[in-house]
Amino acid sequence: MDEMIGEFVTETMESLGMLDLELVKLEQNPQDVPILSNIFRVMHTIKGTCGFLGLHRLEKVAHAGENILGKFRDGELQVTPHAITLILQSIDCIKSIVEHMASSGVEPPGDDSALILSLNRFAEGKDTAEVKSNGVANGAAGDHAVTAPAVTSDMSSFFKGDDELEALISQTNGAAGDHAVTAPAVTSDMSSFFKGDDELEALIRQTKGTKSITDAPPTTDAPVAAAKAAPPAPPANQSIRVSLDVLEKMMQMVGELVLSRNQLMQIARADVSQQFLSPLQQLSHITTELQESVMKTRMQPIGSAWQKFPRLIRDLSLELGKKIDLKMIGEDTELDRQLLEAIKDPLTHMVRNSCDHGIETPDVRTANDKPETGTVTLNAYHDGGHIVIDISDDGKGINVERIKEKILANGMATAVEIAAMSQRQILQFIFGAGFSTAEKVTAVSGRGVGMDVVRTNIEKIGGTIDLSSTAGQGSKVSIKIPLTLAIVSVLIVEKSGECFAIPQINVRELIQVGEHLPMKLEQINNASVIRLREALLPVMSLGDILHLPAATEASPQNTKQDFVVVCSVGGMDFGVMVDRIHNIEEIVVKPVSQAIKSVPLFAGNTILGDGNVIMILDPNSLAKEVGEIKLGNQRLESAADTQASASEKMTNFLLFRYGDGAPNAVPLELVWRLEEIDVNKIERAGGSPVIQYRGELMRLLMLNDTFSLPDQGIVHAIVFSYDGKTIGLPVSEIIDIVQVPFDLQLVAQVKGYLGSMVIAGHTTDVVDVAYLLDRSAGTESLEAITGQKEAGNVLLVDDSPFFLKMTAPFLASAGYRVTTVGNGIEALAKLEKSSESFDIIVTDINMPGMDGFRFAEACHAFPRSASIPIIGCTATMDQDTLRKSKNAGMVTCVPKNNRPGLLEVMAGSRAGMAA
Amino acid sequence: MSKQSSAVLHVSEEQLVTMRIHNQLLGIPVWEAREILREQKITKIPLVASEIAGALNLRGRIVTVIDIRHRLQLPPRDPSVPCIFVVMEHKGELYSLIVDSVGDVLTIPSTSIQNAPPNLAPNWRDISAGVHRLEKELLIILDPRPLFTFGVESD
Repeated sequence: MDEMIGEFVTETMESLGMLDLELVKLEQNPQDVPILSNIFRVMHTIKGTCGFLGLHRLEKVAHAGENILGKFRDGELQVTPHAITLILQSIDCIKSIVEHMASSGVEPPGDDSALILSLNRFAEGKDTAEVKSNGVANGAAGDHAVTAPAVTSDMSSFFKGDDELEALISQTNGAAGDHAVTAPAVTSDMSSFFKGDDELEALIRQTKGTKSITDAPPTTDAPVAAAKAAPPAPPANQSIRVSLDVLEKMMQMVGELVLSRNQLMQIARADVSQQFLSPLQQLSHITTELQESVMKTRMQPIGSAWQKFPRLIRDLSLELGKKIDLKMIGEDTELDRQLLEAIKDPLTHMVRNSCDHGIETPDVRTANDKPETGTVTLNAYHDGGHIVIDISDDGKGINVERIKEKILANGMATAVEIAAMSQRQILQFIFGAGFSTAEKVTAVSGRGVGMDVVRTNIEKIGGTIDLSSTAGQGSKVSIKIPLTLAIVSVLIVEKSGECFAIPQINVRELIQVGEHLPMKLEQINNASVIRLREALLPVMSLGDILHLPAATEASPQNTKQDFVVVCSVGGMDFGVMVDRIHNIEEIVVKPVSQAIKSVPLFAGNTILGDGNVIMILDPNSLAKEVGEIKLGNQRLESAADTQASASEKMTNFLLFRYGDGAPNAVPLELVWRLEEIDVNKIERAGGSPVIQYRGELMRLLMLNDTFSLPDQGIVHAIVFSYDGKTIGLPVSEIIDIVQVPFDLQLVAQVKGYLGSMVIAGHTTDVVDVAYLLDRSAGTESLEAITGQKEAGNVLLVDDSPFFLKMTAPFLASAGYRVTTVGNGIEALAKLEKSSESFDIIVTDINMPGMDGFRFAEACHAFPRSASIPIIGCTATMDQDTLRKSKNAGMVTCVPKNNRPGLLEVMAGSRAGMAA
Repeated sequence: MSKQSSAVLHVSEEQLVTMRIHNQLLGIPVWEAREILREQKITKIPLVASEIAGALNLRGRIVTVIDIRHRLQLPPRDPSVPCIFVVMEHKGELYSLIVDSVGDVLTIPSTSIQNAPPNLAPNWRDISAGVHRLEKELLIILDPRPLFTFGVESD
């Protein structure tokens, strides 16, 4: 049934019930103006609503009724029992139509002209005169004539005609007097059996005839009785309105009941008395059932959150010049009112996104053999204690390549990491802060805020969000949320003798840390971390967060073992250190008192099974607290730093130990695989160790002589692969992977190393992988070229911070002074504005935005840079690139890994300039 | 309902529940006191104002416990000495004062309540609605409302 009609039916049934009562009151106090105006108002509302909903039959009846009431109010007509009867009849007529609508959703066909006529005649004052002149008996007969059509019209819709009906009615007809009066009641009781229309109407007309003849001594209340006897066909959706306050209160009470039950159960567990066990079990059972039913009262169909979308889509399609249809499936799916409120905004955001980013403009769609009109589909359904809401569109889908570029550009992950990711994982980056792939910012979206907020909001209510997309066919966002918020499960932890609750949904795992345990707490400049698999996890003591007094003497320092609760909030993982972990409990969250509201760390409080009050920690605020400890290894999730210098970008390093010295690091981006090599399988070829690896011979290179291969057993090896060359570097130990800014503090004096930097508190040597690869190829000719001093001033342009960092020290070691920039635009700005003049430009070819070719062309257009030789550098060298680079005015283009080649070309072009 | 009865009582006489904190006799209107509790387990709440001693469970409702000793600059309570909780309601929430003991309910004529003397310290003046002279000592009538404002509410 249309929701509007449904609401109208409920509301009108309520008003009609009230009207009955009020009219009777009015009859008793004809001069009571407030009652009269109240009645008038209600009737007027019904009429107005009917007109609005296009229910013409109802509207006409209500209008006629309202006319009379209006005349009562204006004093033009007297309130007489006869008048009240007429009004009541119109109300009955309305009622019967509304009842029919309750079951079918549409106005039943029928004709109320007789009723309306008599109402109008009364309103015009004619009927009254007649009644007065004709006396009581005739007046009553008149009543009957009026009643009959009302009742029949009501019945005609229910009766579909039957032979038996005919027989029955004729029996009724045969009966005299009293029977005739009750006939409508009897027949209407049978309504559900009868079908057929025309015969019935004929029959009723007969009945009517019989009535007017046989009804010799009619009583004035007969029509009222008949009307009352007409069966109130129960509306299909029987409902009453209950204020939210009452529901909330009930919810709370049930919450208390659950808690009390839990307390009882706890006592029962300790002291099992058979006598109590059975009733207790029953109480528990009933409580659960009660809880479920009360939960149900809070449920609302999700359709109510979708109501505004048709309008939104319409407005958006106008604004964006697209044709968009909205399809809604599963509007009846119910979920908790509170949750419904919480998902309204995220849903709106996602529908907007679908329209803006997903659906293409009509011309693009036709060009791609798609229907001109795009479709956004909302689909809601139950899935095992959860509600799933899908928002899908048949638009262009998400450009995964562009997301990859964006991830790289923002330094959120390295190329190697991205290559290892599934499409789903890559798409998850969209939910990171500051991520927008929209080419242009529109009023609708594309500002890079939003999706992270959407995810945070969904996670706040204990939900998850997922995204899938097929290029050219559309994308789908799935939101999965729990059915209700009222009861949550929490983990009870203890710190400094006080207990606190952490919502279980945010808890990922529990780790025990201690001096003698595998997991240890480590310090970086007073910030605590633990090494958790591949990441460093920031850890903060709950005592520090809550300013609790230090541990009491109950837990002596030396045997100290702490627990770390690993929490996850909006993509950030962090650890909270506590003394003890108790249990998990289902609790009802109660709001905190005004006195405590100012402390954001508390999401609420509750009473546990043992009767104690406990504070519930807000994981979001905890995350903020932890976030204030600046740690170098947190995910960099801001796009705002595209302007920032490339040196601040994060790089992932693989830490390993080579021999006994300081840890070594190599950029993870260059690592192909980590292998374990059986020493016995190592062979020798051309004087150096090799191993058969994936069907080929792989050279094993030694960095220096601080480490030598063991005689037997297994040795770890880092495998590098670049441009067809594969080499293995045996190491003594693989330590960890960390993410830190690439910031060399010391440039290496030793070949094979780029320099040293501080990683995780240790001085770490960064291995020059390119040198290793060169060595493996036997190219030892670098020295011949490098040697010269003051070779020139180089501007190095590359969007990859890694290559900038790899190449800059190398060029510097060859005697060049190097300035690095992250993209063509910046480079042009440098060339224009910088007081320095550059002797040579080395640029990457594949860069987002302005590529190397366009950059070279732009350089030639500016007077200051027009004569500077430009050398292209690319990872994917081919004839086409070479040709294009020449066309763009570059000296030449060299492969990125061919560093000697680069130096040669650079030296050559310098010489050319000088000559 | 409570408001009406208070208005009625104001014209004639006032019924006060008496209690002692650090030997000072205090009184609150009898209709303000919802409940008087003995020993209760209090859950401490970190990071809040020092006068909030914690929270306790009153038959499923959470009561914020207030220790006004700090506010009145009295020495802190000796945790080993048993105390009494006087529960009051303010804006739909339950609060409880910690006091050392609770005495009789006194009925005193409203007219005998005098303003607090001007030389009373401001922190005491803030919470006193007046002073009543008993034969042996002075009874400070508490105005509980200021106790429940923690700088977050406007009124």
